[in-house]
Amino acid sequence: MWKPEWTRRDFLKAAGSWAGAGLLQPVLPLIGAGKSIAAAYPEEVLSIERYTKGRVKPGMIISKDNVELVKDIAPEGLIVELQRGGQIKIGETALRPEAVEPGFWVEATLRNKGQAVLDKQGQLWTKDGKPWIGGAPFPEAKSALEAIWNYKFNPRRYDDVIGISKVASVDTNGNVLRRDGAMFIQIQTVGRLVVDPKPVLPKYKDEIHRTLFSITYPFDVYGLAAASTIYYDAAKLPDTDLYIPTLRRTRRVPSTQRFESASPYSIYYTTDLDLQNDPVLTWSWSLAGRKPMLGPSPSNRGARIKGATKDDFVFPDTEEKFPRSTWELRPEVLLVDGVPHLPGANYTKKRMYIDGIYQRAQVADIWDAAGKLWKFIVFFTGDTGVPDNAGGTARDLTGLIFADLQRDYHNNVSVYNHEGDIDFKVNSDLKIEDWITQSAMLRRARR
Amino acid sequence: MGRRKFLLCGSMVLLITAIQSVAWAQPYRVGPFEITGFYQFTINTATEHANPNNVACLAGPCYPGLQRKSGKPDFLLMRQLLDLNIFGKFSENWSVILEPRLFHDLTKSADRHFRQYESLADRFPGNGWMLRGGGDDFKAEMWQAYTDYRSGNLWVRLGKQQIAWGEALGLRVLDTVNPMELSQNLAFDRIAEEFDRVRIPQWFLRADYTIPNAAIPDLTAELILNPGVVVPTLIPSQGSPFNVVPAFLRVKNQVNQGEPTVGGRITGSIEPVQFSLNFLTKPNDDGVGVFKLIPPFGVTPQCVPAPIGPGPGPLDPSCRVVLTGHHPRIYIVGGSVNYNWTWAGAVLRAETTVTPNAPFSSTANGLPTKIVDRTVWKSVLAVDRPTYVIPGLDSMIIGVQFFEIFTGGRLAGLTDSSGSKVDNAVHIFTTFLQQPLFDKRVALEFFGFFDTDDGHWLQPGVHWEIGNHVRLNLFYNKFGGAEKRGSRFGSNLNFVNGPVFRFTFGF
Repeated sequence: MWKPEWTRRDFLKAAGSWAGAGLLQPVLPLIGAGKSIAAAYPEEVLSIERYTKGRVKPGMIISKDNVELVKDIAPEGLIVELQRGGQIKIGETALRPEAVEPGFWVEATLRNKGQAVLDKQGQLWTKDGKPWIGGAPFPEAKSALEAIWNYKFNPRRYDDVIGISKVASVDTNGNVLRRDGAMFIQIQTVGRLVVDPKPVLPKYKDEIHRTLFSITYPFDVYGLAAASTIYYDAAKLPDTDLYIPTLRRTRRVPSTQRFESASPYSIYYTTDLDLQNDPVLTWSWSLAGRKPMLGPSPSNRGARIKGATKDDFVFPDTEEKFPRSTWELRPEVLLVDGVPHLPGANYTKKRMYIDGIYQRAQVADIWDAAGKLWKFIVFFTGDTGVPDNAGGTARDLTGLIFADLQRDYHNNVSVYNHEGDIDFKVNSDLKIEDWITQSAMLRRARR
Repeated sequence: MGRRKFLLCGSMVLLITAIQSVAWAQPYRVGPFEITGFYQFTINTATEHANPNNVACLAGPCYPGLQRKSGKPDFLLMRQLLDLNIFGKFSENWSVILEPRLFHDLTKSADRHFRQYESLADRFPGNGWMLRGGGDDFKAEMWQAYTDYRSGNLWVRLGKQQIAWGEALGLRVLDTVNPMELSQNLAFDRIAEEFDRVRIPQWFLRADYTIPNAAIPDLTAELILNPGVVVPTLIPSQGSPFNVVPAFLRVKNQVNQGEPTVGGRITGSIEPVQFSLNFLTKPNDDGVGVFKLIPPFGVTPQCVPAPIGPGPGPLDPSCRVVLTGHHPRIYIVGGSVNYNWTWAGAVLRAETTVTPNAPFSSTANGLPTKIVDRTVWKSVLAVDRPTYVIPGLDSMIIGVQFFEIFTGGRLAGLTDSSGSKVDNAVHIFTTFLQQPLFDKRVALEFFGFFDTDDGHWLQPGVHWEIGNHVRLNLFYNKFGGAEKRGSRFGSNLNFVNGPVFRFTFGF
């Protein structure tokens, strides 16, 4: 009989089935055959109704009135949010990784299985000592470090992505105190799967990716751009270059301010972007558990669904304190605890909830220096409807929540396919030289 | 307040209200154009004493001199400013930026110590290309207007633009392409904004080409060319609160149009170092004064009292010694470098220039009679390091700069553009501290400028961000020390000591 606290190995022991892979049978062959992963898991963990013995069913609304029903299967931060007035809807469990992962990424994960190794320091390499070649490196992660590499190697999964977002900062009374807008770009330099040259941009082979934030409002930071060079060496902090409109020039700045508000009113710190933005080996990681848990549904397509209202529970484009969303039982979630080892770190722990099927984290809880639960972060991911230039449509971020649970304060982020002169695109052959260098920032300055 | 001024105030408020009503949280868009901007009201009160330059007559102090009333003024500046940034993107290759500004100076209306004066200069040779016009109180201008063309490795920016070079902040070592507009506050605005509001955009072709190569990432060559539309350093009108020219002097700027400004630089990165190598030649921004015995006397006729002459005599501020402000061509070579010192969590910066022919006035009997060249070597060493100073708070931004100026050759009898004697070596330390509070909504700031010859400028301040639209600034300028020379920051400038309050509404 399935018990909530069982691990994947417990599945193995109980079912007496596939050694090494755990569960009833390996997941990967099912994925490779384009089949549902249902056959790999006990029925109990594929249906929230079965798992909760009928107490929770798809379509049910969970609020402060019945939050006790999900207390054992929800991230701690989500429980606090629900107790304070948040509402979620329970959805059916998605059984295909393509629900939130691009098809080409899943194919690369299958194709490159077994090629990844970690050295003594925990650095990711291929067996022949080269930078990783794309896809999740450890599709059957056995350790926290493997699980975090699965996510962190390329959190966006694309060779390049450009997007636009808006942030509403909402106080405890639901007042919107500030709105921010930003354009975001990431260009992957290794493990490239779609856009030539693949798998490595030779000129940038020592990096893992570059990112650019360019702020579109408010007025006094309009045009401010921040470029980060993230090195393949995961023990090394990124380089940061700013274009500061007031100074009319670019400026290299230290990258050490990672545990403080990124901008006024912001709950998120630099370390929190992409859920976990620091290089992998600047934190230590441990596996706290592996169990079925609630996770965001891919139906949360956010602002991509025009006309959606709060009653649709899809994280609609709204400035409410608690945008409503849909959550589902995920059959296997790895509870990966990270402890930062960087100067100024004021977290004692960040728990990343990494989906064992998607190999992606969408949720994190954070504890403060006193060990009290502090923040809750959600990165909703779903189908954007935009071509991924690899035969499918792009699965990418559709909305974000950064909640300060101690102050009851939110940064809710909506993500768009089009805003102003910026279109959301992936695998569109963005060039580092055109976007994420000092000279590129200067020539693209909006002010 | 007169009807005209009331209408000016009203029109500014109406304009921002109209924009605000449709753009409450994001840039206002019209077709391909994105419009942002701000309205700003500034009050700078005086706490020290009257500007000595306004009462420095030829025969000694004269009161009220160039002021209407004697005594310490109430205000140094009371100003409205509307600044728009219009960004238009027509394609991935083409974009345009326009930055119109409207100024309304209320200082003279609010403070009866002052006579009428021109608040922002636009009456000088070459002014036509400033795209600035208006009366003594109100000025409208197209501060910047340029178009960008990008294609592959090539970038061309053409139009009226600011060009800022170098690593140092607030110190003009490499950042000398554009002249400065010092009319309204001598650049003593909030230090964190550096020279953005006062670096005069000039007409330039700026062309950058990123050179493909395997060795040096982002290796870029830049050429800048101004065909000769020359604007000098614009200093405050005589009689105005910030006037730096003694009442007994009249400087006639001789700005020769058609003298090109040409420069270039090579920039690149060899991690963990970024570098630039720079060259610039241009007419000197500051006028270097030369006295000539202009018939009949080399002074204004008002110096000759009646009944011999037409004037009241040397005790009157209308009696002035006339100097011609020359702007000889200078050549500047230099470079900059920064080093990302990851172990220390700091960025180290260095910047240097050599001007082999910096112009100075050679004086005889106290009067500047000719221009001589001397070599000037400027260097800055700087370090920026965010540091957690107060437990539980965000890190404090700490920036320290050491600035050194060497002037070569024989300096006896030489004066600089301010008429001050020149030292062989000048050493200056600056420090900038910024401590964010309340999730970066409030910042405590401090800027200190310390001249080792005993001069200092201190600027403590508070910056407060309220939501999307409102920014409040309160800071205080304090000059002091035994150093009194005009080109140095010491007690010669203590007449501008006082608090500055700024209300900014952005959209």
